Amino acid sequence: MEANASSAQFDEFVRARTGSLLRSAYLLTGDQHLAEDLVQSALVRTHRAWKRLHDTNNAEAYTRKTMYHLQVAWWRRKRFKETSDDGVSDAAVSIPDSSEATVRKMVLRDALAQLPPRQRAVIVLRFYEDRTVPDTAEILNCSTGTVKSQTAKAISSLRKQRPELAQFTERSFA
Amino acid sequence: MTEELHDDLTDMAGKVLDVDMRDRVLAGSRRLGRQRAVAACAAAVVAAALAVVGAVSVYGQNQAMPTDRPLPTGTVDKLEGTFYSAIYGQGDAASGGQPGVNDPSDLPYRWKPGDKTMTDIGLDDQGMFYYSAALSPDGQRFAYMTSDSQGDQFRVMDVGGEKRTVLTDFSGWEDVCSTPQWTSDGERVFVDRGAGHGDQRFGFIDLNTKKFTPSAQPPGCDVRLARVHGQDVMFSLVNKGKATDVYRTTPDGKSVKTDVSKVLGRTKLPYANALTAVSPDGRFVCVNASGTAGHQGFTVPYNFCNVIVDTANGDLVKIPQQQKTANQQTYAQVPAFVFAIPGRLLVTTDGSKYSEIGLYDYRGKKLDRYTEARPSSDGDLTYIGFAPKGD
Repeated sequence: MEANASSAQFDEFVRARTGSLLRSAYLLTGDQHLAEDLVQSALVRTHRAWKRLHDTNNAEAYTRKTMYHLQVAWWRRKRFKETSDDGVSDAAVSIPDSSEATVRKMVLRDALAQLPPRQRAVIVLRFYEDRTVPDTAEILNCSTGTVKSQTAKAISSLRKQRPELAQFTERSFA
Repeated sequence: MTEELHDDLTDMAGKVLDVDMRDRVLAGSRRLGRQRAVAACAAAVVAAALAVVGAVSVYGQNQAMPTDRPLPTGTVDKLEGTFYSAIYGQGDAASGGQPGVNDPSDLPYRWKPGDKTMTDIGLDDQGMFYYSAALSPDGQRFAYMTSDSQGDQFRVMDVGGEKRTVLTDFSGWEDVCSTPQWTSDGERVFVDRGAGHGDQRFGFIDLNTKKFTPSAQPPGCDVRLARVHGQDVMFSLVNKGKATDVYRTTPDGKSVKTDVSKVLGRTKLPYANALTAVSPDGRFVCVNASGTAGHQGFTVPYNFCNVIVDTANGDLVKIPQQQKTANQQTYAQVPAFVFAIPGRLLVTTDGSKYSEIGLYDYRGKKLDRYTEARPSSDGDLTYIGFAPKGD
């Protein structure tokens, strides 16, 4: 009986939180399939730790932390491909729309895709999930100084790669 | 404007399609519990793929026959020494908390075959240690990378976790693609300090003087060291999607492609996705090979390979693969310390009920083994290092 209840709670957790996790994962990976893969891997870990986690209401925090760990740790594999591909990401090829806002979003998406995984993670945590520097450091298992320096590097890269973002990012970071 | 960035990111994130992941997650969890996920799948593929090419020789009739150098032999027939492992998801235990509640990182510890004692290694940064630690040839120290309030640093720590020394810094995790490696004499550590260090990126730190000496620039990533003709030679993996090659770089900066990709190309696992280990003399190279290039998933384990290439003979070394017994299905994984005992191979085998570490000769004969019941499914065990007895 208890096992069934626990299983049902996990099912409910997955159904309720997958969407939110996928959205963060999509920003981290820039790809639907990779995002699904990342969320699945993190949820698998959560499932295996579920007995401990659902009692503490810590399941989502644990899953997100695992997701960021997996994504950042994965850099060694992914990096090979990133360094050998010098083109623009597929997602940024063209979606005909003349509105300034849409163009800016496309530019941002393309620029994000060029960032190394950890810098991308910092941007997502700080500016999408609205995490504080200490929170971000805790999730990424690094110092607050590293978060700050990675944020600065990320912002600088965004600016360098896409001058259209200069004003936008400068003010955002200030 | 922060709000504007947030809004644009939210719009971007909204492009992702919602999917029901429940069944996939449960299936993945069962698979992880049984086999430690991808490594097991890879091993299963290896068994099938390598069976196609026969026992060992992979050279066709039109290929120049490589030299027929005899396989190494050894004198050690007993599996004795100290293992260093980590259990994923137990990071809290390291700081005295309830395991696995807040910290999904790893708890590293050491143990000996036949002894139930598991000694926690006192660490200041579990997550990074797991990905970067290298055990010294004498089994007394770890070289590793860390990122904490003191910055991004290479450090050396004795295996008791008491003495820690900072060697040098690195310019960020994204800037580096090789973890620290010991020279065979244990007196220097090779470091990749990251692209931010420019031409001072690669080099050796002398453990006595702490002096950094720049080295030749190896192509690619995953640098491993071997002592060849009295020189410290670097092996590295160049991975450009569908073109993967292992290179050998001598101290004078000459880089030569090895035959690893040629050998793999005659199997159904032509892509080397990671260079995991090189034998001390540089003859044998162990890579994580697969049938597909590119993304290998987020659960690809570190410090494991699945194919050993004999670069002298152009052969694959026969290693045990999956076995099915009455009790369970098992899967072989080759750890980074596969060459730790001269003339012998160390291969780990995983199953749902027990895990085994086997001592083999180079012809695939099992000489000794240590078997234990699998630890609780709450954590997934992996191996960091091994110090043979007497070292």
